[in-house]
Amino acid sequence: MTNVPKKIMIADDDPGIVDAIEMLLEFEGYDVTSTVNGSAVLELKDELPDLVLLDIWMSGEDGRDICKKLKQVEITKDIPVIMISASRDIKESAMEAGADDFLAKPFEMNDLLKKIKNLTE
Amino acid sequence: MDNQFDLNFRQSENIFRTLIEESLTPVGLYVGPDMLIKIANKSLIKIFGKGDDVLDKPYFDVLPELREQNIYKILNNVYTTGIAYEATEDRIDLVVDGELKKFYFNFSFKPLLCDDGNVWAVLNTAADVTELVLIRQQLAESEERTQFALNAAELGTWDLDPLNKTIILDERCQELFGFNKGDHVNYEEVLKCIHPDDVDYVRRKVNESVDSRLRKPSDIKYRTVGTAGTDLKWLRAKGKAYFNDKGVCFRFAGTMQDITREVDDNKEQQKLVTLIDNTAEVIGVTMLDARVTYLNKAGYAMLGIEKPEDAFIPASEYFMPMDDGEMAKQATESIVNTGKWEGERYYRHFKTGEAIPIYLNAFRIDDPITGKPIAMASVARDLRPEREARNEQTKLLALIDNSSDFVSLGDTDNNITYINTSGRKMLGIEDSDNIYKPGSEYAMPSDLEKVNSIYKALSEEGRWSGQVNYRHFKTDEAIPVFANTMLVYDAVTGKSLGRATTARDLRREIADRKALIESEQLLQNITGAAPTALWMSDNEGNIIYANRIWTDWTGYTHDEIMGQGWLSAIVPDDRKHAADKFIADLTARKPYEVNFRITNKHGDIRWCIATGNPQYNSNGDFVGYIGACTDITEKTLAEHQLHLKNEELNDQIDQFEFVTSFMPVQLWTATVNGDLDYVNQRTLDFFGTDRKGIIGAEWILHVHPDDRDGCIATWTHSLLSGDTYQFEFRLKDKDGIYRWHLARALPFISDGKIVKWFGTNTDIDEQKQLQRQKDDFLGIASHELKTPVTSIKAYAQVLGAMLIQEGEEKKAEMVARMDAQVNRLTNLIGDLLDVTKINSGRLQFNKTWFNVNEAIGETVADLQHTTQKHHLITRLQKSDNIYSDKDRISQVLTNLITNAIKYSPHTDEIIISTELDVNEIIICVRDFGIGIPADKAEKVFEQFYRVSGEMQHTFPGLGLGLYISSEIVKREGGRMWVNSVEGKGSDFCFALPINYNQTETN
Repeated sequence: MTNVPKKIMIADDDPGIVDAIEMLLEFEGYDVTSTVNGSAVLELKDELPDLVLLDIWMSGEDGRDICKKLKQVEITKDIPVIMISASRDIKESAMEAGADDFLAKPFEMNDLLKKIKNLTE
Repeated sequence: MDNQFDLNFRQSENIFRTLIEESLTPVGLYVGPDMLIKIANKSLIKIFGKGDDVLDKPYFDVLPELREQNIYKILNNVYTTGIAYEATEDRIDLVVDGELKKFYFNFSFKPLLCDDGNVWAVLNTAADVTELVLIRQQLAESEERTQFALNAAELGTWDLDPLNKTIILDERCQELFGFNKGDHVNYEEVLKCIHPDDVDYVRRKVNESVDSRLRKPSDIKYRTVGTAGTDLKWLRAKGKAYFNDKGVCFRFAGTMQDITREVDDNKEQQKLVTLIDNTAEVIGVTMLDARVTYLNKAGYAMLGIEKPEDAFIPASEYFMPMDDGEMAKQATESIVNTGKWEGERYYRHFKTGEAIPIYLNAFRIDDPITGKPIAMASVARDLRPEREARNEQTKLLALIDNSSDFVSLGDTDNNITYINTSGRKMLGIEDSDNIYKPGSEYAMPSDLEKVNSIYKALSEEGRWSGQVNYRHFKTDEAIPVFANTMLVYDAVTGKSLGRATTARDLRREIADRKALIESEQLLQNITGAAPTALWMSDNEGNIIYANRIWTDWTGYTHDEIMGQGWLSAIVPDDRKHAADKFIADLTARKPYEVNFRITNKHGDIRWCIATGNPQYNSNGDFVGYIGACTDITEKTLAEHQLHLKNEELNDQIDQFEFVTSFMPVQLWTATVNGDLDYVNQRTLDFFGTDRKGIIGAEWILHVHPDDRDGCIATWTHSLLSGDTYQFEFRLKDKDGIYRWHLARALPFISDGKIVKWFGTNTDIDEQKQLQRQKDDFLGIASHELKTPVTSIKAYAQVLGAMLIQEGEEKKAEMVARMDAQVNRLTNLIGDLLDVTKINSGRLQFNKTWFNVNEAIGETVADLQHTTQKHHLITRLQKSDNIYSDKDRISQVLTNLITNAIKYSPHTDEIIISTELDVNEIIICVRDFGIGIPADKAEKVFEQFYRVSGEMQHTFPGLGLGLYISSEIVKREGGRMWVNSVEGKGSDFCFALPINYNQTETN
């Protein structure tokens, strides 16, 4: 299992972020899938990711609602979720929504990698 | 010549010799200057009495005794001058038989002349008339003696010839009738001198005496009045009539005696008897057998005797039986032996038997001529009044001795002889022996001069009264007294017996008076202090008292105010009204009240209100008014001004009302309890309610429920602390729509106390919307900014990692710097975001328990990487965990340290220290840089403030760091401050509460 790269799913409505983090994580050896449509996360059936990076403030969708739903579904409830937001102030609500960790933009890449590592191993 | 003489002489000698020799007339011839006796006949020789042998001897040798007598000169004179001398009854003293005897001679010395005219001899003839002279002298003397006897008996003689109506009065008679000595008077003239009332009586009596049928001896008394009719005399005339053979009276003669004195004496005696009879003392006369023969009226009265028969009894019966023993015997013996006795005895009242104490003075009356006792007399003084008086005196003395006033007696030498009990007590005299000393020693030494003036007044006027200070014998304390001193005179002799003094202790009085004066003074001060003139009038409306105030106001003296005088101070326009009103009220006995103006001599006007109330005495009689005049000038002026002010104010209120109604602001006032008591029209319009719906505590219902708690908390805080109230809340308008308002209120403070709150509610809904839009914009903007920054950071870090992997160290370093710049950008964006959060109240804290020292250490370590130059030195006290937002605290610390680095470009040391206090931890960052001017020190915490001046370009930044930091600290319940000296550096500190109550598990 150790050789199998962890699958990370990134949900953010900003393609710049998705692109940059995808590049970073791939550079770090993760298997990355991404979506700019938050609700796409809820449609996951198979090939479930090992961790979801979920942006809270997405156009038309609230990351926290997706997180809650994700955590209610049997097959996805165990997938760790790190919520990302430009506002630090909503960390609490994010955690209430079931997030496993929280990261405020802009963040140091090392912090992100540390958190992912913590939740995936 | 001699021969011739001798011849002639011899021729006739014998003839002549014989003639001469035998002549009975003494003849002598003395020749020559020596007066040789040539011839001396027998008669002469006999007169000479010197024997026969005298011839041829010098005359004066024979009669040497004549040398000393006048005759010697006479004889010599005859010889030398040749002038003859003749003498009649001349006295010549001759020595006869060896004895000088008195003789009287008629004699002559005749000179015999020679032819040449010279005297050669003196012929002397003489006759001895001694006997004749002596007889005549005897006769004269006898007559003188008769006259003398008549004179001695004061008798005059008179001799009337009734036939011829002539009268002869001797000198004394003449004198008695008032004639001059030697006047010839007739009978009618004499009658004229008799007192008119007595003339007829005299005529009748004289007629009775000279009537031959009656021949009454005459002894009558009558008065003469003298020729002038004024010289009254009583005369007694005794006379006898002589009748001739025919029974006709031819002579009526007698004596006349002046009995004026006797008549007067008689009268005196009469008076004396009257006196005795009427004297108050009992006077009685007894015979030698002690039988009473006379008793005066006083005796009858005192003893109750009605008739003389009752009085004329033995004297012993006059006395009380018990008193008639030894005492009576003694008295009788004393009278017999010494002629008098005196002492106290008791008479007995004849009717009541009552004993009457008397002082009896009894004496023997002796016949003035024979000296034999003829009677006894007694004078008795009723002792009852005296005893009564003595009783009275005793009572009086007791009274004096027990009098509460000081009473003293002194002798004529001003020594005190007696002081009554009160006096002794007053002066502290315990021993009565100490009393006798000079009066001056009773006074204070300082009053000695006064004492002398008292003595002087006593001796001049007999009395003195005034104030003097006595001296307490023991304490030497001065005792002021009012003393009355007078000389006491003996009632009989009128001589001074001494002096008596009464003195009243004035200490109490003086104290009272002082107290009175003080209280009067106090009253004066009180009444004087009050701006009120007090006055009193009598029942006719005359002012009889006014205090000083009226004088102060008007300049009129107290006396000038009295009566109607007060009116003159009233300005003429008001005077009549004031007076008429007073008279009317006085007449009606009504309380008086009137306003008037008074003026002083400078013309200053003062408004007064005079009030007065009628006064009645205990009998209910009206006695006058007591009242006051109050200065209402200020009040009047104030009222006047108030009136003006009120008008002005009303205008202002109208304007204010207009403005407040018009103003797009809700105005309100609240009580100190926080209840609204006023709102303007605008407020009512906004809420669409009447005042009832908002006044009081109702207003809170118009506040949005979410804002109520905060609003109440803030409002309560302001009410309690007096701090300015400021709160933003949503108010529901009449349409039920909430609109944001900013409420502000300031306390209105009067005399250091909050009396009211004045507040406004300003509609800030639009601002609020704008603000929110701004904040939203900033939030969105910063969010939107952050997203690409995050991407950039990600790209940069991937790039950096790739370059390091490829060994491109230099390129990787550049990417790292780019990342650092991105971090700066991130921070700026974060600051902007923070400010918007602060402004919108959305700054949130994520509180956790953490260790301050560790947090500081981490931050310092991170920051130390960013600078090569500066050394960050930590001096941290040991500290516990605190409950706070660690990131925010780190943010604050970071801000302070980066500022310290930024503003100390020329120094390299920054000290970060902590200090633990009771309830807080203080964290300081000290630099040694440019510092902050003192007047700017507090402004550094303001939003967008930057240390200004020319340097601002040197130190870049938005000027938000300290603002955000201080806001963070404030919202964490702490505080932030700076100590700085320009050019020396700054010391920024913040304190955070250590909230031990907060449990760590939270």
